[in-house]
Amino acid sequence: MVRFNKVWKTLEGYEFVSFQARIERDRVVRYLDFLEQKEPATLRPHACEDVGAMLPTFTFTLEMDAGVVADLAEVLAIPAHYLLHGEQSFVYKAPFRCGDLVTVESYIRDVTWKPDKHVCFFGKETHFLIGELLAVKSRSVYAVKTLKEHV
Amino acid sequence: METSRLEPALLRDMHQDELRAYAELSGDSNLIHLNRAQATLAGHPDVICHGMLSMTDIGSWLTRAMTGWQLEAFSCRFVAPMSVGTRLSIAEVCPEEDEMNSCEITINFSAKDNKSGDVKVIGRAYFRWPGASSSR
Repeated sequence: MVRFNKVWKTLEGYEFVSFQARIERDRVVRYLDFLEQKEPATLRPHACEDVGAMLPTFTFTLEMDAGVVADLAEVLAIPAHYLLHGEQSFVYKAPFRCGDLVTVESYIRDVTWKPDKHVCFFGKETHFLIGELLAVKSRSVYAVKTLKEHV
Repeated sequence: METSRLEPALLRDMHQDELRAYAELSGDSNLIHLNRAQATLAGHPDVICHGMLSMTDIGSWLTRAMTGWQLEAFSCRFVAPMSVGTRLSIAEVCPEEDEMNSCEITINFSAKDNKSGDVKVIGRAYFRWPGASSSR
């Protein structure tokens, strides 16, 4: 566990560096294989045309590749393994396809400190855009357990 | 009383090999999912499973069961850590009363440790029939 840091509460609105990532067909196929969705064959082309419909958690992978969790840990000045993933949600606004170039923009939307429970929650919101079109909006909540005393 | 519309299912056994495979696939290589020493250093008794692995499997369960419907939103809360080797059983809970011929469906679900019965993941998904306008 780590000590609560009152600086954390000032991080609401903190914007992470945006980045771009290509939806690689090979990655989509590997996901389908991992989920054992090898049949029917007719669904695979559909998966590449509307990735979110077949693989609802795929966009999370783009953030992992970019090291977003490590970035969050760095901002909080704690080791990454103290971040517990508590909640995750996705809202699907428009389809995204294999080959699309996605722009990923994230920020810390809210910081909630629960001193009675010795835990601090960090809500991160992410927008996945194809051009200027918002394809997916996601929210990740990470929890950090803290020591009983805090500064 | 509303009955569940989706067939319950047993998700994959999340043993260490599965966690490694998911870490490589997803890019989530946090050592608490891969290394016992790091997991215990972080305060866990053993390696814990990726919450997102369970959400990925739950997503697959949902999309297969709701073929033809358009997924609009999907959320999970990882209620409790899942130790390596956990196997979840997933089921729809609290089916919402839908109007006859509704074009929108809400699925509430709960995933329990198949051995202990402890709830590990809860969540919700919204589906819309393609072509119907969304009320959300």
